[in-house]
Amino acid sequence: MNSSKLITFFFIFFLAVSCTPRSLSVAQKNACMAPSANFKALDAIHSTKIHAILWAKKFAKQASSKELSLSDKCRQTQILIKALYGLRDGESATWENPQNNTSGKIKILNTIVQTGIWGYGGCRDYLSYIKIDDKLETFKFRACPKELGAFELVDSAGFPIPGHLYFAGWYFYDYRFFE
Amino acid sequence: MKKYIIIFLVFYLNSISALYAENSKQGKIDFDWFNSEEYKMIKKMHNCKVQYLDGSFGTCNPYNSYRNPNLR
Repeated sequence: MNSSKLITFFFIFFLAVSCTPRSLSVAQKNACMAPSANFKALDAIHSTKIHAILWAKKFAKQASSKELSLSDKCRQTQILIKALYGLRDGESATWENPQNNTSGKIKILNTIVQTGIWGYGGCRDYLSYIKIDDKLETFKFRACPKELGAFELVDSAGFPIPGHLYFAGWYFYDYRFFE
Repeated sequence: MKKYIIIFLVFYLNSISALYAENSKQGKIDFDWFNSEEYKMIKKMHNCKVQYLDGSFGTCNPYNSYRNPNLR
């Protein structure tokens, strides 16, 4: 690798890394941490725990992609909390912001009832939709009210997967690992 | 020379992006989020913990009881 390529790589890497915590920390400071609204930044951080190389690609991707404004992140968080604590399976909550041409929706899919200490008992699976300028993104998460400190769940292949986030009494896991 | 310009640009862009983030509309919330029921719920549940008989700690999340149907 020649020196100009090396400098370009560091330039992109430095910009990507420096942009991540700022957007996320502002959302965190205001308690607007719905995983779907902050997904790209959270996913990049999550990747550092499970991938050797992929995380750099994800950091670069999240830095260049369009994201929700702080207000819209808070709106998505608002319906998420309303849904997780207050809605039954199959019900959904929505928000819309015509000013930014954005909207969001949370649909609770199911709640797992399971006895015993270990397992997914109490976890709620849900779909999260975010629309920015007519571009719709869909996310699927598993939110679990686990014991404090028990942050890892075993995925479908038997590997321990750390959650993306602990927030408002729930541990959030990307559902792709459990399919 | 080219190298120095690139290094300067990296630091310059990094510093103005910080200023931009602080001053821009991105850092403001356009509705009464901090007085909403959901915000209060987040604050309450995020810091709340209960101690079980075995000494371990759990979240106050009511869905925790779905682990044990006797508690529901």
